[in-house]
Amino acid sequence: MSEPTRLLDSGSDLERSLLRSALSDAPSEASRQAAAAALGIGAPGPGTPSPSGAAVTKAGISAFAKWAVVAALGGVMAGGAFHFALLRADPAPEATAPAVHPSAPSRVEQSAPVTAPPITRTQPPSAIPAPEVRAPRAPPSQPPRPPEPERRHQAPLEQPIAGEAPAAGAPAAAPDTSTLAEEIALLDSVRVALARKDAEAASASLAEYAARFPSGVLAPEAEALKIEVELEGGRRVAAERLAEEFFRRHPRSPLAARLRALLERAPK
Amino acid sequence: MGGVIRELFEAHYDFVWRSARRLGVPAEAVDDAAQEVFLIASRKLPQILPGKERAFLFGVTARIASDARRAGSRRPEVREDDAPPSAIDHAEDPAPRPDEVAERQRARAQLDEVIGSLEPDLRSVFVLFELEGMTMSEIASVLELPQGTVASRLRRARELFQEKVRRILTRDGLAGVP
Repeated sequence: MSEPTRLLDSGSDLERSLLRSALSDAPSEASRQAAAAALGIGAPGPGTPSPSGAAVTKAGISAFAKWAVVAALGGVMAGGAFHFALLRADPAPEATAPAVHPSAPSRVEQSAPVTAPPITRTQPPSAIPAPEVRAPRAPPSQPPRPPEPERRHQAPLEQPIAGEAPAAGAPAAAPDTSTLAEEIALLDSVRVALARKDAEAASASLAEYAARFPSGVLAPEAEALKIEVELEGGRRVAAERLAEEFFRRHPRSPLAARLRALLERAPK
Repeated sequence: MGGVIRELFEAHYDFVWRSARRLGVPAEAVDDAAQEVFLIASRKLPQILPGKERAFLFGVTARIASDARRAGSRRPEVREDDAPPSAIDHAEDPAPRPDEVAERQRARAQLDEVIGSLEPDLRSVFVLFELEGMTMSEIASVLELPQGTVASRLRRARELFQEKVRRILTRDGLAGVP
């Protein structure tokens, strides 16, 4: 089958002009490094020393965990349609067959929210714990959330999490991935309870989180969920007080805008 | 996941980033979209068949781009010069003239409009052939389609592209475009 001539060579002036405008598309080095950090693989690239496979940085894990929880929260908070939708994105192209192994998990399994750190080829798919209930997809009419600067742009220089005191000059130890998975799972149970409008169960899960992970990597996300729980329980004053504290401690959190919207909508 | 995902990342990040942008992800959201592709891939590594990595990644990218396009249509417009700079913004002419910048931005916006008007099936084939420079055989492999289907989609995509460009020419009066 002969190849047609590309429009870049044979098109009209305007066609070529338009197509040429996209030839320079390329990611910046900062983009590459931020993505690598979020994946926990450091900053690859020519001339850049790569960390060992086991040396997943705290920034990388923290960024990924935050991404996962923020995405999960987005499902409940109904405003984070974009990133949550991405999490649930089916890997199959829109019009092509999926390039997956025939024994791949079912569609339901594939679309479950992240509840554990990324897995390796050596792990069977069953090693991924899946939550019992999946948060509903946000309606398409919801506005998308703005980009999450804390997740991407700050990944290489992750700020200390509340309650943590990173040692100066020494790389912080990466949190145990199983512990991280437990944190995520516990907060996910809060989210699920909130989706059921069960403030009591959500509060119990949050109390368990606070007891087990007093300096958890996902403490800010737990704080945000606590505010939701208070609102769900009809305790607006308490929610406002916690929110004020949250905004002061995490002024750039991607959750802040959502919390403000929730507070505005809550009965006075 | 370090080794495998690192290899995947190093081999395909630029391709994924370019594809996301060209399939319609707004400039200011491309970094996030490309990152999302690899986060999803990292979760699904066991499902990716050897030799099908690029097909898998492009499939996810196309899906994410589709979602981003829908989200973008409901989002306040972000000016091109608000977007984070891509590598080429630094690598090219360090000080392009304002009129050159404006012209490039206008051309790019028009290209996004035209490509965005294509159906997703046609859009993928068009982008891979005209911009990524793939052969039809390569496209057939990436999209896991018969070559005949690729050829027919490309033919249709080009017809629509040319038709849309003619409309732009009429609408915007760009007869003098170089």
